[in-house]
Amino acid sequence: VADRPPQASAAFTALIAPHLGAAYGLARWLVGNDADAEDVTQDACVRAFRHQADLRSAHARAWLLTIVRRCCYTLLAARRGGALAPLDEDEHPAPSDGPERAALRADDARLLNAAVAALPVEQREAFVLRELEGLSYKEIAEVAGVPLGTVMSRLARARAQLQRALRPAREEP
Amino acid sequence: MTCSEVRPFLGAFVDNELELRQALEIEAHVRTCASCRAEEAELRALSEAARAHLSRFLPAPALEARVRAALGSPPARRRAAWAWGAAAAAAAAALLLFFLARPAARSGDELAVIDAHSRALLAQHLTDVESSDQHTVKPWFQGKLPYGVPAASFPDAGFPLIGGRLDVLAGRPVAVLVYRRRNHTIDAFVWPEAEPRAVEASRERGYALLSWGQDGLGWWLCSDAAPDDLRALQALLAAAP
Repeated sequence: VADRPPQASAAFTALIAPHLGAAYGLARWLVGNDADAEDVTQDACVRAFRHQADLRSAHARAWLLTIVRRCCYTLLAARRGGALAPLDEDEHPAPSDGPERAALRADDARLLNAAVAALPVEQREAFVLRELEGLSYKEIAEVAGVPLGTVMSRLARARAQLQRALRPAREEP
Repeated sequence: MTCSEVRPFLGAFVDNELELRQALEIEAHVRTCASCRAEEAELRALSEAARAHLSRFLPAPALEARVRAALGSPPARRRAAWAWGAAAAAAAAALLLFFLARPAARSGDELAVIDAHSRALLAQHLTDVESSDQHTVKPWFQGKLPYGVPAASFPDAGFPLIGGRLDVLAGRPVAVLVYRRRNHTIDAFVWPEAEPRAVEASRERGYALLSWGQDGLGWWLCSDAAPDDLRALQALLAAAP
């Protein structure tokens, strides 16, 4: 009992606990399973705690998410045996959108979740931070360490990909 | 502006992330272009669907204790401390409970409701019957439970019913009505309770709870939504026919 510094508890309560859900949610979406997400979240919290001097508390959430993201990428790189992440900068053709295009099956929760899980990780994090955490483009840029324009294009590509994934295949005559 | 100039910015337009002048230009184009208008509608629908259906993974309650325990250990011993695993976490959890225990005794129901709610979220098993139609949800419970379950939906008030499921609390089967509030899910547990009870709100493990009893039924609302949202849903449920 005595070897737990009291300030650890106070800092945790003030800075980390309110954002633990967001931290875990992002980690879970990025690493893809509960056990790794828990390890990564813990690792990130410990790092955050050690570097709390860097923190402006108004940005505690974005700050913690930044660290969570970095820990996730470290884990993902280790999983690939140090191989570089595949670039997701490939251009996709604009979806064809004649008046005959079928409506999205976006209300199929399983399909939607699978489609998001299949996005390249940079697009997935931008989309999840935007739609689940409600982060602004500026905050996403801060968390991901990229310019605003990159956030915009990652989100646009994520959505184009989701639109393709969720559009029912047209039956060939 | 042409369609090809507009398309790259439609997403940011839908997200309200464009500067005013740019937003006005895009708005003007969209008004006159059916194809871009369809694309805009689709992006909005996608966003709405994501907010409603994207899995919101919640940390297991034990994670908080685990992290607290890790913060308390000197960094160098962190890995070693890990080997202790469950024992350390359990000790920290016990400690937490000791420090956080509030004077008001928590009822077993309250804890059981939170456990059931987080279990459903973790397992991504929110609904057994998925429907916003009370005429589908209400009869679904019939024959499965020895009591009638009201299943009103309040889409106009921002609390659409998205379905229902069966859960087991303290050894008895109970009905859970699942409501959506923006990004959040609200579970409404309902079971027979003879005595009416006044509304009581509490917070536990980061969840907001609200319970009351009326018309022979006991209600527990549990969610990570704001407590005010639970109060609003309570008012709707209490007034529902």
